Amino acid sequence: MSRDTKAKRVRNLSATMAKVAVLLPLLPLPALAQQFQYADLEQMFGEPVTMSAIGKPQRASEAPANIVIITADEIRRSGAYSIPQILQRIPGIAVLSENIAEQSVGGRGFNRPMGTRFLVALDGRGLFVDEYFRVDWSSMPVEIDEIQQIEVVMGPAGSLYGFNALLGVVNIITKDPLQQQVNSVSTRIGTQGFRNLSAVKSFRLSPDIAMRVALGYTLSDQFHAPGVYGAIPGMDERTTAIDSRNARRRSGKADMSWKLSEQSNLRLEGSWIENEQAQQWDIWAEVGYEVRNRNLRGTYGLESDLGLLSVTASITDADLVVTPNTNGIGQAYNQNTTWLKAENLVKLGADHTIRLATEFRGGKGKGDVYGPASARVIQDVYSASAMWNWDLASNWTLTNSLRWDLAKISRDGAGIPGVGYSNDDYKRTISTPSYNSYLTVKLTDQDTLRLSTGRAVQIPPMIEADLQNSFPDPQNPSQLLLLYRGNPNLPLTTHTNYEVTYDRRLALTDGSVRLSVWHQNVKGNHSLSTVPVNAAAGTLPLLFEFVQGSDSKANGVELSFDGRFAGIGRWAASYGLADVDDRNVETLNLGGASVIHHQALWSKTASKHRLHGSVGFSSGIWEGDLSASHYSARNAYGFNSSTLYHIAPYTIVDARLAAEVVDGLTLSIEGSNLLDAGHVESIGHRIERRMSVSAAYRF
Amino acid sequence: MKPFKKLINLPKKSWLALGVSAAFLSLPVQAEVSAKDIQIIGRVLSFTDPPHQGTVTVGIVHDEQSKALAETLTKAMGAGLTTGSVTLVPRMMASSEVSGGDTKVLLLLDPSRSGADAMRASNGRGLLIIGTDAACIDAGTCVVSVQSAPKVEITVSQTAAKAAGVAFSAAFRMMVKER
Repeated sequence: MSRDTKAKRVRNLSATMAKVAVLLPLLPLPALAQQFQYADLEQMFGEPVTMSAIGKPQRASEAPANIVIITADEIRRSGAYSIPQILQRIPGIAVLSENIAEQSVGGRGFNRPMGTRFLVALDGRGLFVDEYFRVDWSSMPVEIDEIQQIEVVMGPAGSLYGFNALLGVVNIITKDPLQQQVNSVSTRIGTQGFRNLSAVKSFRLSPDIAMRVALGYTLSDQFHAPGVYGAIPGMDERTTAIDSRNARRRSGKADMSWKLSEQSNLRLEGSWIENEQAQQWDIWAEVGYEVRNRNLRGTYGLESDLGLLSVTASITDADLVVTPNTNGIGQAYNQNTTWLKAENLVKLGADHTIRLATEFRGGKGKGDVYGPASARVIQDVYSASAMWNWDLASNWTLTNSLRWDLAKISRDGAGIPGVGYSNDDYKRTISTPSYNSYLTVKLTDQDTLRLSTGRAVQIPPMIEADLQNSFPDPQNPSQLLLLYRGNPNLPLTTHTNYEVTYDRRLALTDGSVRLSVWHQNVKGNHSLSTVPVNAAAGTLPLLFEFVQGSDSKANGVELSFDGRFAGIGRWAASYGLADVDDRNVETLNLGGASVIHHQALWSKTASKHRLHGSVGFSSGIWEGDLSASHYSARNAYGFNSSTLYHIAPYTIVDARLAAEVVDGLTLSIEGSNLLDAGHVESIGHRIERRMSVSAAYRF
Repeated sequence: MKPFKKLINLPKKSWLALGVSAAFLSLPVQAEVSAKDIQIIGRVLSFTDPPHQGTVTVGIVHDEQSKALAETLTKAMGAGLTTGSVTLVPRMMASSEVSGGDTKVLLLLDPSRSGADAMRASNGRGLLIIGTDAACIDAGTCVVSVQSAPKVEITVSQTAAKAAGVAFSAAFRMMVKER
């Protein structure tokens, strides 16, 4: 080697080392305790890391499930008003917006208002509300700057997460206060009277204890123009009172992480949320909705010769008021949830990782929606699960997991005369397994093939199983007009999925391609019957109950590409196909006519085709992102009706342009649904164009 | 491109001109070390049990053939390179020096020639021996191999780690290859 070449190599290597040395001290210091250090592991492997796929720490590229990780940077650049808005970029996911503060996340052919088939978790804790197992996105106790990443597992994931992970899991991972210091203040002002203020502050109380406090406030007007139900005579007037309500959210959270020793740590978290908005409900179409939610959670982690032990305890108490559009009278109720979990993860030898877990989830509901004041509904679920991950050969990995859930459902307190079921009728024990199996083959350094199958289960939620509710005739308040009852004989809803996924790194685009082909068997779709049980009798009150409507089979394909260009740009494109075929559709003979009356046709209410594209750049102080999501035509069921209303195809275009004008201070302008003044997505409100300006200071 | 590959791409005449023997061609070559390799090594040190912290002296182990590379690397790292919670301070060490001294981390530029001596010297002392070619894992001449291209690959030899008295955190072990 010549002297000049040697000198050049030294200069190049020194320059590179200098750049690395400048950058690395700015990166977060690793916590001294050995808990899962997302940021440091991501820095080391050069890609996101996750535990969401099978409960074992893994690099995203090596996770056996079809998993997509949305990083904190991608979330920030999106300019999204809500987390569902970001999720719709993922092929296979469909987001249904019903009004300014409400979205339902589903996918692969299954999405309805109050979408209940994706499990949404915050650091592994399920966030669904037990009355419907619905996800209340606006009542989520997390500010955007707290989020480390969002991990989306596509396909049933019941063996790790339990009930409700039918279509998959959205696990929102927050930053550990001891690992990453987050300090920010941001505000956003926009159309529809939108105002948002968010503040996050971190405190280092000692070398071993750190804390983070987050506060958030959001206020906006409602979208005013009705969606499909505007075509239903009389519905407009009934929703006016609800439409006039603002959407308002106030939240606070304190999160502390404490390194107890080199091998153990404790994390404590407390949060509260107050949220008011309009919302779509299965029974009453649009309702006014208020919730006050409080949560306490503690997690203890210990690393020992026996493995990684984690013990979690969480208690959530929520007071809710739902005001139906039918009579404008608020129905107050309470949901209380206790969650206990213990798990141990251990690596045996070089090739085997075992996870054992046991869990208890206790849910209680009481209040107006469940019947008279003394009525109480209880769902206690006891679970045990095991996972075995085996590196069969250098490029082959097999993962199997099995979970057994034992659910005890009961009701006590007074009932409503005429419902026809006693508390003893509602007592039920459900014992059921769920499983996942994954075979991962690294064909080459660039190509990975994943074969998977999984079964996930959902028990009937409290309202469907145990509801007793009544409404008087407005013209004659002493006469009951409507009775609703839960059905103790409802079957479980199960999703069984078979999937093949192929990934390839593409040097040409400095990106990747992913192709997934899947097939799902769905059993036990149910919803509120649109025909009273006592229709033949012709008497009042009319009695409605939840019934099974259909089974379904679905087939689909998801294809996605992404890449980088010119050193400053990034792009992504995806297509999702979901073809649903309904089977065993329940019909009712009404005067000789066969009527499908249980909102049973899932094949009619899903967009068969989904397209998404995005492009963005970061250059100097500027960054910009543009995305478009297209949904093909579908239908929406009317309020408690078998009538299907056509939803025309629509394209949602979102954009954000930002500049870091001084160190730490970023100003941005963002918009959603830029292509049209408003379009219909459901029987809810017409989804309007939104624009806003933001200022965010991170220090 | 590794010197070995450069050699085999030369025309046959050049081989003869160089007087290269078959025996020489069959020897494993020295591995190249990139800036990213060093960065990853620094991260790995924070996942040992107990983790390395603060200033850590890294012995850059070389012999006559790899001395020039060792000098290049040492000069590039300067007075110390901070990565995560550690600052790596390089110290050139000849192969013959590995049995003595109190340096706890060794980066072998030629595991095939110096690895055996290093492993003998480790003898339960908690000496972390690192190579940048996974062949040293199979040969039992290093505890950890680190490669940053085309993709980050970290491999740990369970046998060598036990012999050297080195342990890693459970989460780290689950994310790397072990043999």
